[in-house]
Amino acid sequence: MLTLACALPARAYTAYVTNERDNSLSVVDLDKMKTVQTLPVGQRPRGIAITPDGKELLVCASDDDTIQVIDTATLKIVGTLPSGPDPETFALGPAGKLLYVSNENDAMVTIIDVPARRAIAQVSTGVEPEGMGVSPDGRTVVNTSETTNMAHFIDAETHKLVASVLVDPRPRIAIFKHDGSQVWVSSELAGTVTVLDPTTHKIIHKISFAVQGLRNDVIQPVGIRFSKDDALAFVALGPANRVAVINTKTYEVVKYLLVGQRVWQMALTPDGKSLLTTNGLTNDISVIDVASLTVTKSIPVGRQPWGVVVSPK
Amino acid sequence: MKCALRLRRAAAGTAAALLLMAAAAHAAMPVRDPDWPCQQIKVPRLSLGALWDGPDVAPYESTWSQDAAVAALAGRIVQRRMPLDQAQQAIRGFAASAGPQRQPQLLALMAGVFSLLDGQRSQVIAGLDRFGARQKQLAAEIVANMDKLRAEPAEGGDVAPVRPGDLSDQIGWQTRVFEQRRQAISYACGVPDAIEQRLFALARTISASLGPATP
Repeated sequence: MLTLACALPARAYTAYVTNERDNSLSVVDLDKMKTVQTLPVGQRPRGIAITPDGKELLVCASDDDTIQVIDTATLKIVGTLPSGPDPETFALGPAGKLLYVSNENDAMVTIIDVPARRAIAQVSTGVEPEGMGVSPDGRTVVNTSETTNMAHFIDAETHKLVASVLVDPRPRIAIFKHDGSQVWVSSELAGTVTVLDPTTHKIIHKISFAVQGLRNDVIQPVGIRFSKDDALAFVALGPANRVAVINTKTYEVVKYLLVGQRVWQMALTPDGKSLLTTNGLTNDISVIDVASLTVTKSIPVGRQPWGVVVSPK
Repeated sequence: MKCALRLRRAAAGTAAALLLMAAAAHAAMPVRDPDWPCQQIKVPRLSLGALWDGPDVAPYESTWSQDAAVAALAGRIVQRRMPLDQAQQAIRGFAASAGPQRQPQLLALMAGVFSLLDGQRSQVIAGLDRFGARQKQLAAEIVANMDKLRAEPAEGGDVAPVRPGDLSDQIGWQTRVFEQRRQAISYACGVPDAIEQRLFALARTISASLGPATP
């Protein structure tokens, strides 16, 4: 989750949602709770990030083999980044300067200097790199590999592979807690989340899920987000249509929230009060009230929404 | 010469089609069903738990069809030709007029809607299975004919004889059918998802109509 560091008024956040099937970006006014604009972007848009100053959106146009840079003030595409082939997801460093992109087809992580709009390095990783996570201090990058089922720890300065940890089948997202103390990795096929220590590279805990009346194979964890205080973790369970809420101290699931169909990715508002989920088959985003842990609203967006980020106006 | 060229073209087209079919089979692999023709993972039946977190619907599974009003409404709103917003409006109207019976009536409606749409969806899945099996059979026939064709020149000379209805024409025709069917399938493969989508939307409206806070 990328948030703005400055303290702007708490209202009137804007969410940006990539619609994989419509090749578009939905602009959602979170005050009015509705989509206020839809703009065309590249083919098959998926991963999305916003620079810490809120000025630029970065969108993976997977089938165009590029990352588009969109000015949030004008909503115009103002540039592209050399992403390498079929970019799906990426992670923006805390300073908003370096972007780490996984290229599934050539087993590489491409590091891009965002302001300069150029690639500065490529790091060889596991086969089919997928999820990317950067530590809050920007020193460590974690990349998951779908084929080898590993989480690879990369030193952000030397670009060297530091450690590789075996996790459960089909790891997707890797994300650091805000305090940097843990990395959580979701495994879509195994239906688990692995909690890792980023210093010792040891597995601290493994979390499983069980939803009443649901077969285990439809529980496919993908997106993970932490509450602002790191006390809760939210895990999107894909075709289980639910977000699991986890107590990060006990690793117990506190609640399962029914959101929409094929829930993959999430974003927290900068004030930490609301969590947004993209529901791929329902073609909407759900708004979860973090304090009460209830789903308060669903907002229609384009077809097959994939990624979401939030920025204050 | 022309014939040889045509043969080569037919063979290349068929090879590409067969490769594509192999790719589709690979995508469907997790369910271990060799006939499944879609890119989507085959999910033969839906679970109510994936779309419902309200009061227990199970007690109504065997009784909903005996309630004439519930059965009639369920039968109407599961029809995909009825626009979704009209179906949702009908649910709200039904809830508003149900009085003290609102909750049991809505739970019965949920049981009915789930049963009907899951049934509708599994019929589509069965149809796709049959389609996949037929495509596979056609692919096997094309391969067998190509093998026969390759064997022909060795026996009768270096070029296959040109006459109407010969093997090469048959391969070309079979390949065209295969290709046309393959293009049609991508739409058909989206139908189970469309049904699931409608089911979820109806369930959401039924759920929202349960509580006293809903309009």
